[in-house]
Amino acid sequence: MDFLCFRTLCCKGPPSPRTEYDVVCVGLTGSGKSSLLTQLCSESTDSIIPTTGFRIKAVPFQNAILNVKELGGADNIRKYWSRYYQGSQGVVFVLDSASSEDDLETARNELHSALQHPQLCTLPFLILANHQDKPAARSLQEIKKYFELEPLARGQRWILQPCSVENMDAVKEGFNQFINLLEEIDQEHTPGRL
Amino acid sequence: MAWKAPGGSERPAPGPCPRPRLPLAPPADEYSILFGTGDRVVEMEDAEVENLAISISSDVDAEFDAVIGHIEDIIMDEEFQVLQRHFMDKYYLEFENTEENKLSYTSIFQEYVDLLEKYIEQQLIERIPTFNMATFITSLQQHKDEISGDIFDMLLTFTDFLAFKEMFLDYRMEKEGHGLDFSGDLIVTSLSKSSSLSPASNNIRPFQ
Repeated sequence: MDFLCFRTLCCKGPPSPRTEYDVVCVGLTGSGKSSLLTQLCSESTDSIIPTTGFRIKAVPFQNAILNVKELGGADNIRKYWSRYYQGSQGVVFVLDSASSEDDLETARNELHSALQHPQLCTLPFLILANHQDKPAARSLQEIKKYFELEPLARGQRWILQPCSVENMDAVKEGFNQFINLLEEIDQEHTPGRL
Repeated sequence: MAWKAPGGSERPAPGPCPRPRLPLAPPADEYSILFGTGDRVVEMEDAEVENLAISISSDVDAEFDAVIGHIEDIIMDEEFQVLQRHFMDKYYLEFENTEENKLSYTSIFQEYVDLLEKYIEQQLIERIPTFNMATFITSLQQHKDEISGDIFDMLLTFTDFLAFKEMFLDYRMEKEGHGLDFSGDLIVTSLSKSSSLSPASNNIRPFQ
């Protein structure tokens, strides 16, 4: 059965006025995926430990609700990421701007794999350059250059947003732009809809 | 959402005659007929109005009703219940009541769908040779408010991972709840002056 067809059946109460989108959230371990999503849901981040499986969280925004499937990013879990791509309408990739050179390289490889994966290559990407509050954090320009986004992601829709858990406004700004992209694509696929 | 064996003793045994089980959209406010099962309100004006309401429904609606009726029969049947119970027994210990999901839940979910949803589909095709799953799913969207709670919950577990997980968690709670031995937890203590049990020496543990 088509996974998406039952989305509207889940709420037996009055329908929510906000559209829902299914997105997948990946990134290396320690990049801050769980922390950011938890903060966006206004929950406490005190007890967060590395994710070893996956989470499903409905994250509310002003214009939409994102049903985020967040996957753990440790070495032994990354090989399972592609099992969770099915049904996604967008990708959130979180990276640690202040990580070591080696880790940054690994993150770049993973991002490139995701950008080129057949199930994700037509989807919009929100790339969160997290941990900007740390002294060792690379700047927006440095990240853009290092990750080769302009040549590699040509023809794809992406947003690169610097942020940190200390600055949730920047995070929300990134997500709101991302939601605009999702809405645009939705409208492209349903011509004639107001 | 509690997992319970669909049907049970409350439902009448399926008879040979098709009966209207699902509420039809009231054409105007003249009729206040609602059919339903489970927790829906059941009111009937009179038999004539019931017959009129049935004739209003289209062929497609009748087909849809028939499929729902068959699904009820299939899931109430012993064969399905055994299949489902075996599957749940095999895996329920894997499921924990935490927000984070183990990667194994995904493969178990896939196995569940492959086993049980396909079984239902096969059974439906045997009963209705022209049955088409895609058509049915489209009808489901339109009739979503009319399906009884049990059927709805069951169908949801095939497509909604969180509903599937909750089903397992409920099952685990039932299995483990029955297994707990409370006999050591409650002790009757005399309140007369002669008994001087201090709090430390009694065996009453806080209820968990």
